[in-house]
Amino acid sequence: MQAALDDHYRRHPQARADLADLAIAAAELDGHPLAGQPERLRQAAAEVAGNHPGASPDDVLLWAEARALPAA
Amino acid sequence: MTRLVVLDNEAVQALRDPGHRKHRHVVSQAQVVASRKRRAVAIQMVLPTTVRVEAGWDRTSPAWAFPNRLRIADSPLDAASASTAAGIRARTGVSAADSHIGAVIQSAHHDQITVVTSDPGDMRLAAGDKIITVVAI
Repeated sequence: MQAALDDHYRRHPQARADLADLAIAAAELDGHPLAGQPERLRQAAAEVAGNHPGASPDDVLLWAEARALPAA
Repeated sequence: MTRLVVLDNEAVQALRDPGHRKHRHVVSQAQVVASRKRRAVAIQMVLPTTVRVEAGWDRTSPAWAFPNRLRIADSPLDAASASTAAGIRARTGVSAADSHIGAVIQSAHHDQITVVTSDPGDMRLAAGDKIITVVAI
């Protein structure tokens, strides 16, 4: 499946989503409350990608979720 | 936890056509599924065959080469699901394809069911009492 997607991205580079898009997609698929806050996910993706270039969309979701928690 | 992702007609159209305005969005969903499969998450994408007919997805046609490679399984309209779908259609008035989606939803035993659709209202109608996650495209 990934090979099909990689081949598709080579032919159609505009179809490749960035980490923020993928985090939003992951949140949508999960019905995560943050799916309705794409800007928060984009901010989290930017922060995570800066320090962890190999981060996954689920890493972004976790980070965004942690940031949304009220400080103890 | 097991997860099922069901596609509707427009999601399929968007997936097939790189020029479709929702293409990147639906490809993003497929990418997340692919990444999770690689991590051995129990997640499956399915397409009710009635939706495949409505979308014109001929698995033997080169025009559908990309979607064909995404391991999106057919969910056939067998006798039992046809009866369920007919009941949904009679109760709700949604289309035959959406009724088949409803039958797939209602017969699924997955922990989470997500429908990628351009018509969230009809999907919720078709799902009946079953709890679903709707991704509006």
